[in-house]
Amino acid sequence: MSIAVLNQVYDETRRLAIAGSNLAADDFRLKKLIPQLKKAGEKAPVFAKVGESAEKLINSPSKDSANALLDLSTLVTAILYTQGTTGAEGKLQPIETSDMRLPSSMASARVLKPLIEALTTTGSGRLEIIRDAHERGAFQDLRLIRPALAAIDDVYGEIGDFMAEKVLPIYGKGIYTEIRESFHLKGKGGDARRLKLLHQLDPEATGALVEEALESGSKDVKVAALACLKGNAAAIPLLIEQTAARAQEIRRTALQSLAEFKDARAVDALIKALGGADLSLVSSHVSRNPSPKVLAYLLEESNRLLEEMFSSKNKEQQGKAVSRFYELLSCFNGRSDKKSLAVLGDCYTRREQIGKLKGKSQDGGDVNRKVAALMVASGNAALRKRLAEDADALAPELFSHAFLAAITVEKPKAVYERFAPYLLYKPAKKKQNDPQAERQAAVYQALTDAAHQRVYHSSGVSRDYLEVGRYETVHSIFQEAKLDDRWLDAAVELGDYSLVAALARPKHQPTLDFLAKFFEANLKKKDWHWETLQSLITMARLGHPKTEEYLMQSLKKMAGGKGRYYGGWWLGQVMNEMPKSSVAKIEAMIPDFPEWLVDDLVPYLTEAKAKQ
Amino acid sequence: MISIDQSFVDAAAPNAAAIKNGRGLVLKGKFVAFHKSADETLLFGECSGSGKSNYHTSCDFARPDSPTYRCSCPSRQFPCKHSLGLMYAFVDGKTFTTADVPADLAEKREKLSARKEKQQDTAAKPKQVNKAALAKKVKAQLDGLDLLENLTHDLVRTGMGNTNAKTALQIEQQAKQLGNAYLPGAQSALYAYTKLFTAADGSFDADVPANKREAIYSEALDHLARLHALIRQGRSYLQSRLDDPELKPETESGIATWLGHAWQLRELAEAGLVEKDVELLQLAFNSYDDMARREYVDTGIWMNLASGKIQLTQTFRPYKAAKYIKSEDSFFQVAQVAELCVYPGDVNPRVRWDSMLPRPVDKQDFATVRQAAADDFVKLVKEVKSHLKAPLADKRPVYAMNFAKLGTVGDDYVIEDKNGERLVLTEIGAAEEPPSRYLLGLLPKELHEKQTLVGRFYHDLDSGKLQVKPLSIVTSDAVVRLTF
Repeated sequence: MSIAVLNQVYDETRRLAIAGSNLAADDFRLKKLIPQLKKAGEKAPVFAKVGESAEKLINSPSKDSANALLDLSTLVTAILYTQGTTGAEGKLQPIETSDMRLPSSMASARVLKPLIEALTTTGSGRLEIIRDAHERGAFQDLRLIRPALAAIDDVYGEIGDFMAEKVLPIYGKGIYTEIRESFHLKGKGGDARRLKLLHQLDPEATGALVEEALESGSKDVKVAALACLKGNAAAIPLLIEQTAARAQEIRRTALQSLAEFKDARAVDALIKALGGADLSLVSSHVSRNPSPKVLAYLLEESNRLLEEMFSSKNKEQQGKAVSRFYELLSCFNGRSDKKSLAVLGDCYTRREQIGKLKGKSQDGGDVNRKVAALMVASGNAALRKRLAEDADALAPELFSHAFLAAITVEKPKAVYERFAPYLLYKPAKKKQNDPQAERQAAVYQALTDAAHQRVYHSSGVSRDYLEVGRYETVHSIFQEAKLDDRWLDAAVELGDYSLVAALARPKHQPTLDFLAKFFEANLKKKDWHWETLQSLITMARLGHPKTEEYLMQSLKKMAGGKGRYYGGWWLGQVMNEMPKSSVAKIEAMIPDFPEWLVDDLVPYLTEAKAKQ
Repeated sequence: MISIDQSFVDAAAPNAAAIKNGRGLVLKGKFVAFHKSADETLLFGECSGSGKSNYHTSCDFARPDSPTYRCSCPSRQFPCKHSLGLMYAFVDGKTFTTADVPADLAEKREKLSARKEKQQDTAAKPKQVNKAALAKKVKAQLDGLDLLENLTHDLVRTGMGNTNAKTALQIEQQAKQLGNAYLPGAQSALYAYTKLFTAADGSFDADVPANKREAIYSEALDHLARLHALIRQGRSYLQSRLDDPELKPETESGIATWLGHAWQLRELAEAGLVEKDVELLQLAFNSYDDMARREYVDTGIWMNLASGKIQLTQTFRPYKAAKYIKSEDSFFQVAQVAELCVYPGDVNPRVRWDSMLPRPVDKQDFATVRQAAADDFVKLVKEVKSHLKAPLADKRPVYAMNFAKLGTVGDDYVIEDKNGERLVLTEIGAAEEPPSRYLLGLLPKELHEKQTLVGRFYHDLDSGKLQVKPLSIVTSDAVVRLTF
């Protein structure tokens, strides 16, 4: 059967349907096909039928043309439907499988559909859905691989990062080819993530690609390539090349990667950077470099800068030296050799002198603070002891470091006896710039952090550690800190709720009394304050005998008041800490509460019940 | 004895908010009374609402496979939060006192069982037809078909090239009359055409971009041909009903459905389209937004383990009522159905059931599926083609087929039967069916040989190729779903 002519008829019918059947009369292209159809019709009658239908169309008046066209189209289409080609010529090759060995998960459409939508569309709230699915292990499903891969390019960068760092690695090498195929050297964030992921999945196979990316990749891709070269000694020449790049981000990453090596070429490049404008890009990373040559340079340079700071008559030059020295100090972070420690010790000895120096972006005071932070962070007992012993004589900004040092080197009892008076300081009259008040604040802050066993990034002393990259030091000091029991009495005496709550322990009568008094006084106030409700949680945690009574009073106050103050959430937290019988009592009271409060409470009540 | 647990109640709820509200009622202590009947087949209680009098709510488990929920509240959600709350209270272990069933409730229960009996009786008896009303309706439908013909012919005369978002809107406005003419199916068929020319979200604000127009013409022409066939077949069918009022709705073909006939289960039973004691295994699932019908459609693709036929369950959730209707989900067990109603249709008829009991899947079920699948591709393709050529046929039918090998030829993924006949796989499936072909390369090697593929055939008019969209692979111990 000559299908070609039928295809031609279909094309012409389609063309006329687009242009309008009004134009079909005497259509010469269709007309031309009719003789062929008639001829073919001698063998297969169906062609003759098509020919007749086509003839009818070109001969029909405008008003009948639509009908004729649809007749023809129906007929031709029906025939074409029976002529569909199905096979494929050639040798059947086995599919190259990258068997993921994933369970064909039983995730249902109700789970998958919203997740695929979150991965492939835009809009708010998607990261939550993705995170939640990741936590539940929902990504262990073949059907999610491609949407997950697509999300690496998500317009919302955090989703892209999350996918590349947390989700995609679970699929292993099986996705390598797929990622490789979609990787573009000149691409943006998504391609940078791809390169890192490729390298993570198969470092050997990705080596050449990383080099190519370094040479001709876009900025984002280059930075990613540099990150991939970390720890790879063979890549040193490539890294050195990139330390001269124009983009600061690339130089920074290259220098950071180089900072790992002892190799002479790497060391030269590092020293060059330390001596130039890129000091700040590399200083904190050089601290880990094991090369003696680097250390020798650091010692020599610090001496030179100290010299310049003290001897230079030129204010500007002196200021510059102060700033550079401040930057250079980061290179000593974590170094435990004698000479490095000696630099810190020496600076500490000369702290008075240094404190007087003026600078542009940093001054002598900043240098002293950094030195003190590094002394604590060094973990060296002698340096810590020096700081702790001098505490009483130190300026307020160094005092907090000294207190921290004392916690690590002195016995809890001794720390309490020396420092409690600072906490209990009561000025006769409040004044501005009161050094004693600053010392009090320092002790207060450190105690709260120690009691919570965590550090607030922005809080007092920890800021200095964050700056020298030793945040974890102060964190671990607080985590291991042993505090004298009497601190709680001091907190009660001070009458500070936050500190009492932070240090509180069960069965401590003064604390229980304090909390009860605090709560009762606050409950009388017209408005709610978060501390009022927080104190209720503390009481529940401590097993305060009056918790239940206070909770009922709070509920009554909320029920009668106007302000909602997220009542449900707060009371939910309290209920979490309370025994089953109390929760049941609240449940019994619920019918008396206004609807809005009940609606607020219900989810938490359900949760509290489920927990018990 | 009522044996329900929390997951049963969760599953009965139409949506998550209903679950929360139902639980809330119990916690808020809104229930005034909890009772159960002496035979423990009925839970009933009173729940206070915003009005003066309480709502009387009950859950009737006289038929455990399809409980009856009743409530005097005006909610359109079903079951309402009060019925759900009552069940949550029962599951939570609240005390339900044995009490006499209130008279009105007892009456309703009796009525229900009487109705069920009557249904069975009436199923045997022919239904009286109101001939005058039927004639009036059929005439209106015939008038509607005339209108549809005018609209279709106008479209063809002016040409598809002149259809745009604006004209599409005008046509849809005129086509509203088709709804009044009892032709909702025909109306949707016309919308299926006009929607091709609107913005991706179905709005009339933007036209299809010029570079994409060419791609839609073949499909658009196919829709027009379908409308043409619908008008012709519809007219002759309606004329025959007008001439003979005793004639039942057509069950041999899908024309009645195409025009928009809403089949009653009783009608199907009358026509002998009921299968008794059937088991079905779901092979795939899909849920999509059908803009032409203005509803969400949840489609389950099942194999009837008794007949080996692939049948579809379809839940239509019109936009306006979407929140009152429970959305369906993938189903991983075997559905045991006492009475399965099969709609008229050809390859993959729609099925429906009133109640079913789930049972765990066992190896024999997979073996049954594999046995029922087509072994010979030549025969299968012939069957598919002869099905596709009918203008009103489902153009994307689903079949199960046994392949000897799965591999690639060039860039194509191909399955080969035991005789070396091949079928090429494609990504073009039904609306909102996610890509699945690429997953074949991620499956274990043993799935590339001697397995059963459940796939959707698709004939591309532009390229003239008949290909298969893979939906699932059935092995001897699992259904590996490639879509949902």
